[in-house]
Amino acid sequence: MIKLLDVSKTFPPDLKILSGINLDVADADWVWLLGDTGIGKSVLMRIIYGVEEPSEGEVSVLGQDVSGLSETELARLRRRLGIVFQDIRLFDERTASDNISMVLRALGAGKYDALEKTAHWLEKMGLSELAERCPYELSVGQRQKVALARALAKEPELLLLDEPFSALDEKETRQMLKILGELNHEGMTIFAVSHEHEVLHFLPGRILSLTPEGIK
Amino acid sequence: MSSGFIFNEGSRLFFKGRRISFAAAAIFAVVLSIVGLFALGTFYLLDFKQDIEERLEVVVFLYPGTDAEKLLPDIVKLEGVVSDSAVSSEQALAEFRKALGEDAELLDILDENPLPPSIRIKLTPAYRSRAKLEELEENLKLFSGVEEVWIDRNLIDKLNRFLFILLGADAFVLLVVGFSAVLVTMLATRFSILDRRRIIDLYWLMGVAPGTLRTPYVIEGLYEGFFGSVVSYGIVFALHLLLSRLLEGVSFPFWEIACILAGCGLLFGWIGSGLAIDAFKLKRK
Repeated sequence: MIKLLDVSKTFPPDLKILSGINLDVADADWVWLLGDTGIGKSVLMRIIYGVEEPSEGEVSVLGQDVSGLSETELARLRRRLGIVFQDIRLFDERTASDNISMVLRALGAGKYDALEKTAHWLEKMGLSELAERCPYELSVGQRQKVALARALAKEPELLLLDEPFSALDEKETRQMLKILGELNHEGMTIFAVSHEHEVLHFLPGRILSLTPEGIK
Repeated sequence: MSSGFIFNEGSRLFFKGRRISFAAAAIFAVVLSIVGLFALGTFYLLDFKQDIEERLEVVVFLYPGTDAEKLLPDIVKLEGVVSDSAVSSEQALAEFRKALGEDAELLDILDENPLPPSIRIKLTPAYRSRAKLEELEENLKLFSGVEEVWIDRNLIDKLNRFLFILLGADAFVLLVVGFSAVLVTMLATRFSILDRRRIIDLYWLMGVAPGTLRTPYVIEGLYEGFFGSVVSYGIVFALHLLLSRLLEGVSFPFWEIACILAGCGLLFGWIGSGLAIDAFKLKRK
């Protein structure tokens, strides 16, 4: 599902963030990559998603070499992926509902299908009553849940999560993990990064650590 | 293909796109009004040319004593001839007297009528060119009794030259104002893209196809061209109403002007926005 081979990333002029990263995430796997702030987790996530190019190494996602993809091929690959960014990234002037349904419509879903899926995922996240609120009227945790609902509404084969629960309390985090656990059980692959070592005791899946020496 | 999304986004860009889309449509209206005015002038002149051409006649002069009436049935069968009529020497003299007016008495000093009988021929539109007229002239000369065939070649040539110059001017104007319109749409589309850069990037990150992201901007350009053409149609029609007071008998070619303005508006809008989105880069670091 995800294969990284000797991946490194250096930002000009010589800021080396990642070096010699090797990773193999199998189908229906659930992997947590933990690491300190600034270690390069988000950069790695962006490399996997095709937002950043690696300076060296090979990146393969769903069997495709991400660096070699054209604009159209990359868009086609991203349709099969779901992502929650660390900085959430919602349409500021659109409601929570629009934030999900507009993306589904842009991806080719019919109007009613998009609205139905949107309502379903907002309900799952416990956000039905906040559906018509814009992001600036929501708390950071609620915005994280909207972003997660948007990612899941795409019915992705691989879900990428960058610090997805950083603003949620333990009870909400457990609820989200329960939903994700069910989806993982149904076959969805999940790759998540987090710096919160304190949640280790209840995180499901395989736990890896990102260190300056690589992934352990 | 998310055609519903594309159309909705294109409409949203135009109708809610701050003032830039409306400013572009207004500039389009001015630019297309110039195109419309030139087109209107061309149609006026084409009408005028047609009027003159319809009055164009070929005159076949016959030898004295030839019976013109006998030749009429054969001449009217010739290709390019709509109708023909015989003019006897006496009729020709009477017309000449009328044309001379007060000086007609000068003709009294003549012992005999010097004017020959003739046949006047009206032509089909296809035969109003120099080449076709020469072909007809050759055929007419084959008839016995025909002394000379007279055609006002200068008039035909002048009209054709005039039309050629007019169409050349039209093409030049179309090129110049078309370039301006394309430039305006390009700038408006680029502003629109810059204004929505963050939204575009977010859609792109969600896996929306590049075509789905770009096409709404082309639709916005088409809207600008179309609404500009609607306004310019009104302006050109108003100017026609004013001109028709000065120029009697001129008509407004409703469909032709509508097609020209809408066609130019959509074409310029399409080219302008198409060129702008060519520079539409999707980020990848």
